[in-house]
Amino acid sequence: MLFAKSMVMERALLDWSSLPNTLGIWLQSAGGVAAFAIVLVYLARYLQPDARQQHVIALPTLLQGVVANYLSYFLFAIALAYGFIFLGWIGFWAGIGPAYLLLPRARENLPFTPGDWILILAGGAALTVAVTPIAADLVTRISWGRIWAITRLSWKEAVRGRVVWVFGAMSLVILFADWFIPFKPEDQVRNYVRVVYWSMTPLFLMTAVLLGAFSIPNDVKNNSIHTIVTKPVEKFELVLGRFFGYAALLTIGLAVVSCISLVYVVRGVNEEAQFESFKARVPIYGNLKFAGTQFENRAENIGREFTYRSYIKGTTESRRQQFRQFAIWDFAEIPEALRERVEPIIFEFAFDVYRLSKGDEGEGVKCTFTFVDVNKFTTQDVHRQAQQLDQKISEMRQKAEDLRSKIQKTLAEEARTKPGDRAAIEERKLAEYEKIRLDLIEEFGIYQVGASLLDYHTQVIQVPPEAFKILSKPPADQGARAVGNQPALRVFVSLDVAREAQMLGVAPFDFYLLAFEKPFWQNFLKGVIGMWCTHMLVLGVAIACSTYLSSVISLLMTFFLFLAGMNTDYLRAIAHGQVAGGGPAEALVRLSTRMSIAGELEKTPTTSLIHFVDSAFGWWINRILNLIPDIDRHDLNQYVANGFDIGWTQILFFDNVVPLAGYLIPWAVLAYYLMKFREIANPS
Amino acid sequence: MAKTEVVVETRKLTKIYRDFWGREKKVALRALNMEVYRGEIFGLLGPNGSGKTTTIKLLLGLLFPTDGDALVFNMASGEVRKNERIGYLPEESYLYRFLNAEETLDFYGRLFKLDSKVRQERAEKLIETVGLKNDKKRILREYSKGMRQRIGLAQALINDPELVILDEPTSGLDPLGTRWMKDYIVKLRDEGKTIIMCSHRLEDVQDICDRVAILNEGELRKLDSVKNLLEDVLRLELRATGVQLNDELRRDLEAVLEKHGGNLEFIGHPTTTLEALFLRIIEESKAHPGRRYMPEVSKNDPQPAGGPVDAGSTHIKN
Ligand SMILES: Nc1ncnc2c1ncn2[C@@H]1O[C@H](COP(=O)(O)OP(=O)(O)O)[C@@H](O)[C@H]1O
Ligand SMILES: [Mg+2]
Repeated sequence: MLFAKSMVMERALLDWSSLPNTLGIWLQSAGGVAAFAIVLVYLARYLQPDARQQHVIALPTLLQGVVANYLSYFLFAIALAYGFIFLGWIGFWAGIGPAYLLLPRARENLPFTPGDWILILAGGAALTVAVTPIAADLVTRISWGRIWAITRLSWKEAVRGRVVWVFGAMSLVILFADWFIPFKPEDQVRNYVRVVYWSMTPLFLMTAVLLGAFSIPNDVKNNSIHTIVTKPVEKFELVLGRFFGYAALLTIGLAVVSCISLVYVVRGVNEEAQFESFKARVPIYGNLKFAGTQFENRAENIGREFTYRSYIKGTTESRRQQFRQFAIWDFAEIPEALRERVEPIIFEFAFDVYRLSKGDEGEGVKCTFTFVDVNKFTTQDVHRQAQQLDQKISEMRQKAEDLRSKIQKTLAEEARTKPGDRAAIEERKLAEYEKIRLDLIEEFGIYQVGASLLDYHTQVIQVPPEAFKILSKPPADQGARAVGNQPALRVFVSLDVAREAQMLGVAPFDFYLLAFEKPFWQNFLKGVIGMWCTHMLVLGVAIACSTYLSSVISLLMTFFLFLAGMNTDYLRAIAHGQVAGGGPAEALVRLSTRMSIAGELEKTPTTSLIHFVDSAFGWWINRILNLIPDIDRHDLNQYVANGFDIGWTQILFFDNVVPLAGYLIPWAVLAYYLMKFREIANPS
Repeated sequence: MAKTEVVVETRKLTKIYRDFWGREKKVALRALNMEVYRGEIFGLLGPNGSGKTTTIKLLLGLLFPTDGDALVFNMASGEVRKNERIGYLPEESYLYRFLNAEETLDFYGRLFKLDSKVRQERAEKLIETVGLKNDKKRILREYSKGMRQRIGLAQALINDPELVILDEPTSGLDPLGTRWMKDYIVKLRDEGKTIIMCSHRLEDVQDICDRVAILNEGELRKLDSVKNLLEDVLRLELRATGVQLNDELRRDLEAVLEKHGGNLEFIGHPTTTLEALFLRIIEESKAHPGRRYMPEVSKNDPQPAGGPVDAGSTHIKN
């Protein structure tokens, strides 16, 4: 998304309700890895040539007595659980009916199947087995005092090794970036933010990966690890101390560099850029659906912007009668504070305009926003509501006309009987008109605003507070809305009738209610927290790798994971079989039979085997993909650059911190064992 | 000294180095059985590559035994707790060179969770006793090998250990440093600590060790007290002053020995070792600072052993 002109938000916003699902997936994946590792340990144990070492690396014997016994039972249960799933697969393929219950769900947005629950439980048990020795160590042996000593040591090492000077490189960017950044006035902040973020990222990532990958291997190489682990130090304390020391260094470095960069970004912001992105909008998003299109959840695909935006058509003068297409946003709830506001309520939007022929230059595309109170419709069906709109509006206009002329008549009468008081009468007339307007909004539940669209610009429409209050009023009968699951406010967006065919590209987050605005600097620093998550991730992975691998290999390994992490979308598409021609088995069959990608395979037992192999393969790839970090989620520059507030819980906590922890914990477990079973044996 | 309490014990201790695939690379130690008693200096002696360092690493739990057991204070060597009572001086570069002496001791003190007052006191005292008082603020990167070995010893003693394990403590040191180190080790023993040291230099072990184990190719060749190993009961040594060697004396001595059933093997003037000579010179130069050695102009002048020093030192009198 290099220099995309407007906000593209492809991630769903997360909250507490997403937690159970996430936790389930995590237990399946991390637990699966743990189970796999346990199998490897047992395998290694039996392949071990030295009888003496066989019992050293049996997991449960790390603990003595009762606990070890329990863990053995766990191991048995885990084996049983995975066995069941395997049987389920076999049974499913063999065509035994209820076996499918034992299969994991096909897609991640479906509810958990019994098979999923078995996997979750087995994963949880495997993790318990793996984590119990660590937990026991943490409670009984690991000392934060010693970790602190090693943290201080790492910090001193990095500082005295002049690592901090690297951060100084940022000043070069700040000094010279101006020469290379061309911008339209409205893009000033946007481009500055991007340049700053994109120069900070490699700088800190390189530092993190180098510090992490070289620390423990250097300790080993210099023999200094000899003086550490012959003190009453648990080897894992060294890992943690290294991590915390470098993490502190990176954190403080990042804090300083980003504060300086912030000053660089905010000086001399021009007016247009101020409006575009020099703020942190706190939007309330609606749910997007469509009426008058083939599908409810998406409109036409015109092959632009991939799958993110879809397009509604406008009617032309020659084809007036054709049913119009609508993009519809439902706002589930409107905060009470907004309804009580006395200033106009602001909605913002940034749509893509697509004209089939070149329209009049500089003239915008006209469209209409219709705000409605769904409770004022006789039907709850969106399509019917859309069809009724025109009808209702003309009724409303008619009625307004009638009422106004009535008022006019009575007032004219009064003016004749009581001449001389013209100003007062005029005033009353306006008041009456206003009352009619509001009464009608109340009666019909409709308010319309027109706008002239400019491509991709963030634009504003305002709704008068009185009208907004009426439209978003909860129904008198509170239960009514809950039953129909009706939104508090619905907005129909359609193109006006025009001479030429026009299309409007919309995405769910393109239109929103601007609840309020927060200062830009806060948002800038929140974006830095996302960056920080990436640094911690890279540092953690590098250190974990280096507990076993050499420094250079750890470095490469971390790089590899990082690069894969930036392309998870593509890998995931393959895993989910969204690539034409099916999964690997099917592709193989097509290749060998020279069949084209589009044709359906015949329905034979072989085909079902092929599909079975592919789905199993996809499922496994998915597990493996979960081992790869999703780096993109931590890149929050879009929010900052486009001036959207980064929500503390929805974005920072659930989409950054929680995944970071979920990803690093298994690595920490791995590092614990690798370190524990490591001999300090470099020949001297 | 009651040498009864066993501090370290190995039973059939064996170590085979293997590569990643479990293939054998080297049998570094084979079925070692030994015991170390409280309060003695125990020497591991052997040529390079004989398995001394391997033995020590096994005792410390840095390596896992392939077979057999290593017990320290009756705990398995893998037990981290035993390290509370052990001090270890590794063989080669093992310090953080970006720290100075004070910080080094402070860091290792923290690893023992000593509270800051104790840490400070001990560090100061150790720096004083190892003779680095004037250099304690310099970072270790600037230290000479001898100074590094001193601070290395200090870090091994920061926890006031019962058992001190020293891997080649004198390697790379000049004779003076070697002497200092040996004296210090003896002092530690006299304080009641048990010491295990390994070395490939015979004279080190001979001078200070109470008992030695001689290793070769990973196998124990001999284990006994130094006295027993070196003492040869069928030989006799005799020293005398005030006489010059001449044939008559020789004949008389031969006669006496023959009468007692013995044989004269050798008679002559004692020579000194270079180490002893070197030490004496240094001692003297300490006693008379400022004196310099100037070579004599005449080369023919017969000189007694060690003569040039005496002759040279006469140039500047004080
Ligand atoms: N990590 C190792 N891998 C393979 N062989 C080793 C390793 N460490 C030591 N050795 C070998 O084991 C033997 C004993 O080594 P070591 O105990 O260091 O001897 P010493 O300390 O007596 O000089 C040597 O032959 C050495 O090459
Ligand atoms: Mg050695």
